[in-house]
Amino acid sequence: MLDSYINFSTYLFIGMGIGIFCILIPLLFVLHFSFKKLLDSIYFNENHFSLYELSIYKSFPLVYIKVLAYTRAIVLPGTMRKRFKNNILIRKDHPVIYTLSFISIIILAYSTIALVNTFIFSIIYYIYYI
Amino acid sequence: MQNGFSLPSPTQDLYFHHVSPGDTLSGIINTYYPGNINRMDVQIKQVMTDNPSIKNANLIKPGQLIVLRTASTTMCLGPIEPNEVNKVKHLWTLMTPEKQKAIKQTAPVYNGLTLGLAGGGTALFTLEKTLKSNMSFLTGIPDAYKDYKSGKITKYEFDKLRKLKLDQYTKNIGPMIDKTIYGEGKLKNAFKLKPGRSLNPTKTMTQHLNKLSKISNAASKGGVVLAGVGLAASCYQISQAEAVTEKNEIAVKAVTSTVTGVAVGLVATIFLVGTPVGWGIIIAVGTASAVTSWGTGEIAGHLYKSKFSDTDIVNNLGINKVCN
Repeated sequence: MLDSYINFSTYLFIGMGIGIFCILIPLLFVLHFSFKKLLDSIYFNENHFSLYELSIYKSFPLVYIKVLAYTRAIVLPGTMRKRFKNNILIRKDHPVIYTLSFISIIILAYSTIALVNTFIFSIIYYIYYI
Repeated sequence: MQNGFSLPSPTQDLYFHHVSPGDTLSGIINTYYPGNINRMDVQIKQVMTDNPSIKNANLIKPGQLIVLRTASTTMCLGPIEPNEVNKVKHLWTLMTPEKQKAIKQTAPVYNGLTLGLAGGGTALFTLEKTLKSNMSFLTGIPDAYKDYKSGKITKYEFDKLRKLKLDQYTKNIGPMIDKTIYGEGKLKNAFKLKPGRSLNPTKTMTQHLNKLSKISNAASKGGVVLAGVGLAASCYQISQAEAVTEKNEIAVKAVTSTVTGVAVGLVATIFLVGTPVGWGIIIAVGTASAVTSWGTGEIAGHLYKSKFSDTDIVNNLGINKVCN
């Protein structure tokens, strides 16, 4: 039973690593340039970000926090109402960007599950084996 | 703007306005920020925050001096002006070779901090960015003092400017960093004029600027070094290890901790970006990422040794070749 769980957790973790490094990071890189053109002029201001955020989200690597904020606002606009009152991008107008954002969120959801499992697994493993 | 004036570089980012009879706060704001009528409430609030002497927006007195920000300071932390960068460089040249050497030697200290590559790197990178982008607030004070000595501004204007810049600086870098670096109330004290030291009254200020420059540079180096040093160190260890199992164990630890660190950073970010994120949260995420990535790396290493030691990852993936 525990051996099956070890194998399951190992594959789940490897899947997360491949998902993040081979898909998510290149996707965020592409989305960064798309958002810079499309959304920064409208939304990267004091109305949607704090002054501190405006100062630090300008260069690598913290700029990707801004990209993740836009990504979540596009796919899950209801969860970002504190920051963006209206939908920042209409799905029909930009289907490619929406799809890329959607894939990013799916990978992050998968990563969340994989991470939670990793922590649970680590505790169980520590108790039984170390 | 006949009653207003801006201070020369590097304090040009602030306007000073002497209130005349008949002036209103909204009228003054409209003069300096034309076309901002829709955001008048925000502007009034900002001006009142910067000028605590204004208790009531409808009650300003003739002769009163009001400080207003320009667009760059309204945005708070735009890119550092080239002359400000030159100032930082100048500070570097003022340091003795021993001091410069000491700062340069700070970087290898981070070689020991393989714990928390992504997390620690991000935290240090944030610290460096925060300190550097706010340096202009402090470097302006000794220059404003020179302006005061040469009669360009009055003592009152200098004090007001000094207070505004220090408040803005403390607010931007966050009270905890301020306390950690300088100690409670020490920063404000350091940037006060010392009447007894008539020969060099700005000496303490320069000393503190040097200190800030030192920390900022060390953080910058630390952030960059941390980002790659863990993997580089692991690679070195792989090349030095004799047994294949040992090489694999090191590789598994390094890869697992890196993947976990990045994953924790990304997942925490996507959960936290719903509301504005402060520096404290970023550093907390960095630290959490550092600790968890180290822990999972250790577990993965143990797991490899006990369950998967027959799988030769370093040779199959060519890691051994690259590291050698």
